[in-house]
Amino acid sequence: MNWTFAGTALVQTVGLVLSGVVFLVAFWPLRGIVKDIWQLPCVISLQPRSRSLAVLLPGLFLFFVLTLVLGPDHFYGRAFLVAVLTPTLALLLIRHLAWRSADPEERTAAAEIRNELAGRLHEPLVTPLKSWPQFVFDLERVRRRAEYQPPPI
Amino acid sequence: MPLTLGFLASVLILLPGLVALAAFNFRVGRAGARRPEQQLTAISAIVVAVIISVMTHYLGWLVSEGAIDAAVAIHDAFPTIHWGEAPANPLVTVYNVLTGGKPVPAGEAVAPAALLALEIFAILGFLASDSFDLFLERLDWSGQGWVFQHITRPAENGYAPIGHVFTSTMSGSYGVAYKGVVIDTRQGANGEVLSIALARPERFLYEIGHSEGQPAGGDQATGVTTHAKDYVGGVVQLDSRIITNIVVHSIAQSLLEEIVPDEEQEEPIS
Repeated sequence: MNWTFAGTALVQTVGLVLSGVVFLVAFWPLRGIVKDIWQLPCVISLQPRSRSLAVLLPGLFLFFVLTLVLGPDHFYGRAFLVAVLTPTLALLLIRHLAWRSADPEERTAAAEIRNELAGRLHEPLVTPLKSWPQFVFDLERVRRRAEYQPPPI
Repeated sequence: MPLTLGFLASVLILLPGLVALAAFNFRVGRAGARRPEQQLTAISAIVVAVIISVMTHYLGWLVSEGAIDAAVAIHDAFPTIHWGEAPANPLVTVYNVLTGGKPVPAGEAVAPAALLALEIFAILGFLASDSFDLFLERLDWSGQGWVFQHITRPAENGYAPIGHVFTSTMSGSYGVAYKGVVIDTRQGANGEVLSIALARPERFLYEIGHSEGQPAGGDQATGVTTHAKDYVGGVVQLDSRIITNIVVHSIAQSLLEEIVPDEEQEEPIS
């Protein structure tokens, strides 16, 4: 590796820009390990069991590709990459599947609950025309609300 | 290791658990019904903090080990750039510092600090997530008792908890009472109600027995008469010293929305 140009102003500036791009790309696995992977147990338990395939299939596919690219050694490192890269994808996939299988009434009810919470926390409101990140959880809230019995008067 | 440094080190090690407790207390405190938060000196709080810290550090160790192994794997597959030596696991560095007592060079200290920050972000993210919210929803974690069953849960599920609060402000056999949606209750350490707040309440007189010369209402058999209601509006906060008793009914929010617009037209809001 030739480091002759590393000291010039232009190369260092380009390096700064590149590191910014790398940081943005690294945000996906970082989000996966810090936030998304810990949501998976709850999301899988809320959904029909068949939908855990939405986690399993991308994970196995990623493992297959990584093994092709990186070779058969370092199983632990490949497993880590799968665990880091899969959750964000899997959550998107599950949300998409849940949105497609929901009725328009369920979507409207879920959007109402989300807007109720969003109004309390000053978050942006949603419409039942397009899915939103917490849709899977709001669908579960709709179900729980429907079966909730208030204490008798 | 000197005492003060030892204290700091233990706080650093227990930090994930402490952050989890603080975030949990904040979550519970954000709700309308509130009890005093758990004391850090309580045995259960210490146990929870230690367990969460140990588990988080264990997972942090696994994740760092995986990340280092992944970097080595990528380097072995594409050995064009020399990345330098594989770093030690950050938690191993921490362990060596704590047991060896030698200061760690700045370059090596960055990794444990970054790992600790990531662990804390992960805990905060999990405690603030909807999945934790759904897991917690049906359980009375802060021990609110009847307030949880009759105010918190109905309010979360689309019902309005309407409270009738009878106060001890009496004149003869008459007393002042308020009726409105419960928006906030405060409970003491033993679960007793310290105060209750009603939104847009109505005030009315209740009477024990009947005034002479007046025809008794439908409540003759019980001996308690309630008189006409007077719209107060705003919020009324009632302190436990003047509350005689509280009656709470949960009415479906959808039902209320059908009734309330008519009431607003009838009652002039001044």
